Amino acid sequence: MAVRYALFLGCIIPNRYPSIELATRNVAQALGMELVDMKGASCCPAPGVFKSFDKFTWLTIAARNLCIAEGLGCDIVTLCNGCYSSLKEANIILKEDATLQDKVNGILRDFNKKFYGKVEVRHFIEVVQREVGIDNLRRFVKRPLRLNVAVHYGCHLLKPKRHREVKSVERPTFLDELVEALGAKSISYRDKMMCCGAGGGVRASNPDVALDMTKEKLKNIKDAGADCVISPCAFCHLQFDRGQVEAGLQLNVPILHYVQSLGLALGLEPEKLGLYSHAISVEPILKKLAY
Amino acid sequence: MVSERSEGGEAVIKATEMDPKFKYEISKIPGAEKIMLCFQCGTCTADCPIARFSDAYRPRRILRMVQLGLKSRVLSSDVLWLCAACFTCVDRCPQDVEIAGVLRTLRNLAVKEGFMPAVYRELATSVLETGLAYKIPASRLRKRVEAGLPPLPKADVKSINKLAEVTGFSKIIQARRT
Amino acid sequence: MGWTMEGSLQLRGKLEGPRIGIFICHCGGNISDTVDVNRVKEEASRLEGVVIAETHEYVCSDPGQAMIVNAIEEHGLNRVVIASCSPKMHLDTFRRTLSSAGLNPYLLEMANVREQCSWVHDDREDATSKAVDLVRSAVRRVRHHKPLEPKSMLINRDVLVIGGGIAGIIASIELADKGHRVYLVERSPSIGGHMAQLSKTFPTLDCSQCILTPKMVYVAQHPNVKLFTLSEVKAVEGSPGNYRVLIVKHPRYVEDCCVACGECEKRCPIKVPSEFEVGLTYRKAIYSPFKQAVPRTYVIDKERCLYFTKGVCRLCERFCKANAVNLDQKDEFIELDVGAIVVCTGYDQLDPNALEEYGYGLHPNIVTNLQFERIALAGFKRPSDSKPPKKVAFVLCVGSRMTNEGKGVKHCCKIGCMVAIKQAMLLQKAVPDAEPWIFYMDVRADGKGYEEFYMTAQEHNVRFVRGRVAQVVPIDENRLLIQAEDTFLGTSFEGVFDLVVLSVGIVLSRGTAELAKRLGMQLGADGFLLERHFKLKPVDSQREAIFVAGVALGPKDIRESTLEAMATASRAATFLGKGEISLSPEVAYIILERCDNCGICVEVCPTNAVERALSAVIVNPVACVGCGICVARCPRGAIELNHCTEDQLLAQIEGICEGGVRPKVLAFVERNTAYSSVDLAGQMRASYQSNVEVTQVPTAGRVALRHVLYAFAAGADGVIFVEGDDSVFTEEALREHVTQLKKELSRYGVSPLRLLSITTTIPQYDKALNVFETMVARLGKIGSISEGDRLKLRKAFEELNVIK
Repeated sequence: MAVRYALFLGCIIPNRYPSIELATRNVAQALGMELVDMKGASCCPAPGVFKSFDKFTWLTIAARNLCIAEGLGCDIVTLCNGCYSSLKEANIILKEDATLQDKVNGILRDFNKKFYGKVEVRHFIEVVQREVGIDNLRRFVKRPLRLNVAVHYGCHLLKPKRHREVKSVERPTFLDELVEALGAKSISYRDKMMCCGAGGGVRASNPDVALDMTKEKLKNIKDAGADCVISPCAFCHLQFDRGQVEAGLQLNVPILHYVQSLGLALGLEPEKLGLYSHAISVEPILKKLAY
Repeated sequence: MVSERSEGGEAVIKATEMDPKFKYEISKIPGAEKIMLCFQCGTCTADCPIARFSDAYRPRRILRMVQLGLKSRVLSSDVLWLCAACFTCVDRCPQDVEIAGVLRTLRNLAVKEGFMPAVYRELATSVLETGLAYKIPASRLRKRVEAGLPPLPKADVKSINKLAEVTGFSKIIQARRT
Repeated sequence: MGWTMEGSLQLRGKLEGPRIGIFICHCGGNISDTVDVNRVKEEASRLEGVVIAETHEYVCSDPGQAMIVNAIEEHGLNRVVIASCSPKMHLDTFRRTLSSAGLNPYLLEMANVREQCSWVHDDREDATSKAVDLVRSAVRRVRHHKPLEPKSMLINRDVLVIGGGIAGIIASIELADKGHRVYLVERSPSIGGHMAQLSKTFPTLDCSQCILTPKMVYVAQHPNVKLFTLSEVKAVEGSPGNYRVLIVKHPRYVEDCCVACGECEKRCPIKVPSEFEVGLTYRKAIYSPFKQAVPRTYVIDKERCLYFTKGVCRLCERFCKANAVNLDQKDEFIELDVGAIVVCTGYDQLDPNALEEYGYGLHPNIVTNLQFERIALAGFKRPSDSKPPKKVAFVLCVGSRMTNEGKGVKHCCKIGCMVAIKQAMLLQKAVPDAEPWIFYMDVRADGKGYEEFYMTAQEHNVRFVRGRVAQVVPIDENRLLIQAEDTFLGTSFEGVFDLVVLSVGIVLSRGTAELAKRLGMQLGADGFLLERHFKLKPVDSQREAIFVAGVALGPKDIRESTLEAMATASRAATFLGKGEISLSPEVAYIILERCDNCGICVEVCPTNAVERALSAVIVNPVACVGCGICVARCPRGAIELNHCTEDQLLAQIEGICEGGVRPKVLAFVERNTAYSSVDLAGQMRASYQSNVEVTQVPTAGRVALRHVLYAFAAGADGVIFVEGDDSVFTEEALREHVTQLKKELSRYGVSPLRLLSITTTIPQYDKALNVFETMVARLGKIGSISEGDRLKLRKAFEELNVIK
C-alpha cells in the first residue's frame, strides 16, 4: 500500500514511549506506508484537561493541529485513543457547526491558518483495518504470535458511539480480529470493556482511584491466563505498564501496543520495536515466541 | 482524596440555597441539553468504573444536585473532577442525557469560579510552556536519537501561547482559588 | 354565459335575508382568560346581518344551548355562528341544537377561538384581534349557507373483527351474541394471541389458559361467527356502513378433516424453533402451534417444509390416516361486505438485542418475560441446565421509558411491573428457597387490587431494588452478574443470579401500521393506533365505523383489553343499529348548463366519483368525499361543492383577511387530519404567531389560483397549505399544485416566497408550526403587500373569475 499519513505523536509517546514511535515507523515502512511529521504540532490538547477548562480553547488548539495536517494534504494517524478522540471530535464539531468554525478561523487567522475540513482523523487501528484489511494482514504475518492475549480497546476508540463508526460499543470484535489475524488468541476476561483508569485526568488528579481500576483490570487479565495485554492506546499502555510499578503490583503482565505486536508478527527484530524499554519486562513473551 | 463532605455545604439542604434557574442555564450549554430528563434511575452510577472504586463519585447525585439548583455545592465540589470521560454512561443512559457532557459543562463553570485541581493546572501550564503536556527531559530527547529516531518535531510554543491569550485561557488558569 | 360574484349575489337575494345570531363561549376561562369576549361580542354585533350577539360561560351546556334555541325563536334567526372550541369537539352538538330549534343544521358556522386562538397565544390584545377576524370570517361565510339534507343509505349489519387475541375474541363474542354476523380474521394458524402463552394472570393468579380456552372454543363454534385463520386483510373500500374487504386466506395444506392425531408431526424430519414457546423449544414443519389451538387442524410451515423447499419428503401425507394433508392448496381471495370493522391487532415485544448491555442472546439464562411465562408453565427450569433457578433477577423497563432512538421507546409498557411481581410470586411458590429480585425505577400498581398484590409480594420476601440495571454479564455457563445502583442508598449493587428475566417493552404488532393505512386509520406519536378522542371516544378510530380495542391502541393488561373489546362491540352495535347512515351532503354537484363534458373532473377525481354521461358528467354522491379538487380544476365553473361553494370560500377568505394585524398569514388547513393536528398544537399548549390564521377547507385541492389571488387582494401577505398525509389530495398532488401556483403567482407579481405547504399527521403538529414560523420570518424580511398591489390583484382576480 502506498498511502501517506500525517503522524500525530501527542505527548505520552515522546515523553515515555519513543519505543511505540520507533515501532510505528518500522512497521509503516514494512507495510509501505508513508508517515509525514507534523511540524509545529502541539498537544492534541488533552481533552480531560483542556475541555474541562474551556471547551473553546480546546477546540481552537485542536483546530490548529488539524490545519497542520491540512497543510500537509493528508489524513492524520494517531497512536493514542486520547489524541484520536480529541482531534476526531474537534474535526466533527468544526465540520458540522459553521458558526463555531468561523469563530475558530477568526482566531487562527492571526497565525496564518484556516480550518477547511479537508482531512480525516484516523486511529492506527482504523488504518490497518481499512488499508491493509484483515485477510491481507494474515498474509503479511511471518512469525505468528502464538500467545494468549487480553485485548484492551480503551474507551475512546469506541465511545461516544455517535462520534464513532463502530458496530458494537458493548461487544466490539474488530480489534480481537486484528489481534487474532496475527496468530494470537484473544481470550475473554472479566470487565474487558472497563476503562484502564487513566482517562479524563483521573490518572493525574486521583492516582489512587486510577490505580485501583488498573489493578482490578490486570487481576482479571492475569486470572484469565493471558500472556500479555495488547492495547491500541499509548495512554492505556502507560497506565498498565507504569501503573504496575506505581501500585507495587507483583503481577508482571507485559503490555504491547498493537503496533508492536504487529511488528513482531511481521518478523521485525524486537530492538526495532522498542520492546526493551517497558517498565514491565516483555522477556517472558519473547521467550515464548522463541526469540 | 475526595470525601463525602467535599460536595460542600451543610448537612441540611435549605430551600434558600437552591437556584431554580441553574438547570435551565446548564441546559442551554451544548452537551448538557437534556439534564432535565434525568429520572434518577442510577444506570450511569452503576456502570461507572470510577463509582466502583470511589464512594464519593455518584454521577446520579451530581445530576440531582443540578436539577435542584445546588449551584455552589456542585461547582465547588472536588467530585466533579473524578469523571474519567469513558462515556459508558453516555451510551447507556435511557434518557439520552450526555452525562459526561454535563460533567464537562460543570467543570467549565467551576473553572470560571476559580475551582480547579492543581495537577490540571500544571498540565495546562506545561502545554503553554512547551507545547506538550509534559516537560520532556533533555536526556530522553538524546536517547531517542540514539535509538535511531528522528529529532522530535518542535512545537510552536509562541503560537500556542498567543492563542491561549486570545481565547482568554491564560487568564482562566490564573484564576485558581484553592 | 358568465359566472361572477355579482351573479351569486343575485342568488343570495333570492334567499330570505340572513338574520344571524352569534354566541361566544368563555369556556370557563379557557377562552375568556385570553380573549376579551366582550370586545368580540361588540365587534361581532356590528357585522352585517348580525341580529344578536351574546356570550356565555359554557355555550355547550344545557343553559347555553337553551340560550341559542330561545334566541332563534325570539329573534327569528336563520343563521347561527358559535365562537368556541374546535368544530372537531362540538360541531355535532350545536348542529343538534339548531335542529331542535327547527333550523336546518347546516345553517351553523363555528369559529375556533380556543384550540386555534386562546390556547396558542398569550397576548390578550393579539388573541382578541385574531378572535374578531375568525368571527368575521364565520359571519361572512354563514350568510351563504343553505339548508342541506343528508341522503341516507342502508347499513350492512355484519362486522369484520381483525385479530384473534383476547380483545378480538371478546369483541366477536359480544357482537355475535347480539345477533351480528362476525367475520373474525386472524393472521396466525390459531386464535388466542399472547394470552394463550401466559401462565397465570395478575393479580388473581387465575390460570390464563383456563379462562381463555373456553372463550376460544365458544367463538369458533358460534353460529354467527365465521373464523378465518392464516388470513390477512389486503384491501378495504367503500364507506362507513358499507365496507368491502378483500382478505387473502393462506393455505394450511391440511384439510379440516384433520383429527390432530399428531402422527404427521412425529414423522416430519424438520425442526423449527417454536413461535408459541418463544424459541425455547422446537416444533416440526407440520405442527399445531399449541395443544389448545383453535382450530385444531394442523398446519404446514411452507418456508421450512422439505416438500416446498426441496420438492422431497411428503412423509406427513403418506402417514396421515385421515388423508387430510393437501399440498396443492393455494391462496384464496375472499370478499366480505361489512358495515363496521373492529381492529384488535395487539402488540409485539421490542427486540431486546437493541440493548447490548443486557446481553440477550448471549447466554441461555437471559430470557424475556414472555419466555419466562413458558418457563413457568414448563416447571421452572433454567434453560442452561434445566435446574430450578433460585436467584432470579427481574429487570424492568427494558426498552421502555427510553428517549434514545433505536434503543427503545418513550412509553411505559404498563404491564411489566405487575408481570414481574406475579412471576416472582409464582417462582417463590414453585421453587423452595427461591430468591426473586425485582429491579425497578417506579412500581406502577395502578389497577384494581394491584397495589395490594404488590404489598403481598413485599410481605412474601420478593426483594425490590430501586435502580435501573446497568448491565448483565455472563459469569459461567449457568450464572449471570447484574450491576445496578440502589438509588435509595446511593450504593452500587452487584449480584449473581441463576436467571435474568427482561421485562421487554411493547410496540404495535408488525403489519398493523400498513393495515392502518389500508383502513384509513392514523397512528399516534407513540406508534400505536390513534383514538378519535382520548377521553370521550377512546375506542373509535379516526374513520367512522372502524373501532379499535386492546394493545393496538396502547399498552394495557387483559382486563383493560377486555373492557375495550366490549366497548368496541357496543360502539359497533350502536352504529349498526341505526339501520341507515346519512351520507354527508357536502358533495360536489354539476351545473349542467355550464358543463361541456371536457372530462378534466373525471381525471382528477381521486375516488372515481365523477363519471362521464352523454352530454355532461355525473357525480356519484355516495362515492364523492367532497374534496373539491374537481371544483378547483373545472375550467368552466361547472361544478360546485355543497357547503364550500365559491361564495362561501371567498367570503370566509375575505372575512379573515380583511381586518386585524399585518403582515397576515392565511393557512388553508385540510378539514380532517391537518385540522386535528393544528388543534392538537392548542391542546398541547404549543404556541405560534397570532398573525397566522387558519381557515378550514375540504382539501388544499379545493383552493385554486383565484382563491389565492383573492386572499392576497383581501389582505393576506402569506398563504400556507396544511394537508393531512392521509388526504385524497396526496403529498405529490399538493407539491405539483403548489409548484404550479408559485409559477402563476410570479406572473401576477407576487413573490413565490409568499406560498408554503406541508403535509402532516395528527401528532406531528410541529411540522405545521415550523411552516408557520418560517412564513412569519420570511414576511419579516419581505414585508407586506402594498395597497396598490392589492388593488391590482383584485382586478386580476375579477378578470380571472369571469368566464368569457
